[in-house]
Amino acid sequence: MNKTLGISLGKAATATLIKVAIAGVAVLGGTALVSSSVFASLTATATNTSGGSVSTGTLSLTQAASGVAGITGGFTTAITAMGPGDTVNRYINLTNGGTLDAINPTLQIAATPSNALTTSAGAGVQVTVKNCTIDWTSAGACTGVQTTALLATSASVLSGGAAPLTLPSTLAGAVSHLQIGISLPTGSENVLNGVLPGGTIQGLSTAITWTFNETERTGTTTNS
Amino acid sequence: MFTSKRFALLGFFITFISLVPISISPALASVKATSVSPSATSFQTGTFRTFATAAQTFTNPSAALSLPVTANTAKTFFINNGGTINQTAITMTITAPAAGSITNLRNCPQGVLFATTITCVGGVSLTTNNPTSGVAKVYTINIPANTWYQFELTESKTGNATISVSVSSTQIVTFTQNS
Repeated sequence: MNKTLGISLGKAATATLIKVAIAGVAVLGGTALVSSSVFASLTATATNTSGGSVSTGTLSLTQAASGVAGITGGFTTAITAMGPGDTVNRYINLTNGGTLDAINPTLQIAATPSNALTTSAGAGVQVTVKNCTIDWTSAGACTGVQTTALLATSASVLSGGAAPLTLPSTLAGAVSHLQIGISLPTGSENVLNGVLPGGTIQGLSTAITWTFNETERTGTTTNS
Repeated sequence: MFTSKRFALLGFFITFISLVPISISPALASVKATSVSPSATSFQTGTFRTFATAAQTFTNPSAALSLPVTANTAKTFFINNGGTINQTAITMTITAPAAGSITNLRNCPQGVLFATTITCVGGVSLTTNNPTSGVAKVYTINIPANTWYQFELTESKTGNATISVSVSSTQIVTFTQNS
């Protein structure tokens, strides 16, 4: 009886186990012999005569305030004393400055502190994004082709996740001339004898950070 | 009880997994680019706070004005915009003392005082209104932030008139700014 493994085996079983082990070692050894000895004697090498250059592209997204005089406020200039029904348009050039094309551009915001301006879907800040194929004029007009990149979307939605932008082009080198419309709905607030109503959007302040994202275009397979 | 067949099968399995190559595909990673605004946009909303006071002030009383009046004697008061948003109109409710009625309500232009009961300083024209006691009436007057109007009230009874002023979000000056 073999009790080495803590298992009771008969003589016949022990013999079989030994045979299996021998067979396994034989197969492994044989494979090694075939792969090293036989093929080694038949190996030939071909090397390209000139260096095969491999380089990777880049994906780069940058934003800058419009350079058109009168609308250079960008995201850095404060917005003050906005009331229901007001709109402030800011102008940003979003550039895919890498060498790779991109897809799926998005916009997301983060607001600090969080208050009714960015949590109220009905009374809070609304954001609209439009694109022009050339620079916007200082009067907020597009003399090229104008498209809507983002329909009016509440800040509460934009702060909860990235919203897709519909841009005409996100190819490498493409520049999107964006008009960011920041507005407050007309609302229905009523102030009696100077006393602001509960849940008012009046007299509030927040700071909004704007984040644009894009993703590398789908990978390609080239036969060449 | 392990049988010889089971050991044979185990040996074959061990040999098989030792020789068959296992291919592990690399995870598909997507490259993303991000652009964050260089600084946060400071955003503030204004206020539209208009109220009535006996003397001109931008200090908000946060209550309706109780104005002592003498029957058939003109008494002045002020409507003040103590907020930061310009307004195009106000809604005012003047309630005369019991059993009384409003016999006259006049106002001079923005920032102009009454010279006499029937004239404004500088001879500018005044406006005459005909409100009904206790009934809200809309007055279409432009009141920029930090400006005021002087009104003059005459009633048929002596007592305290109550003057309440409200402004809704449809009575403010809105703008679209490109900057």
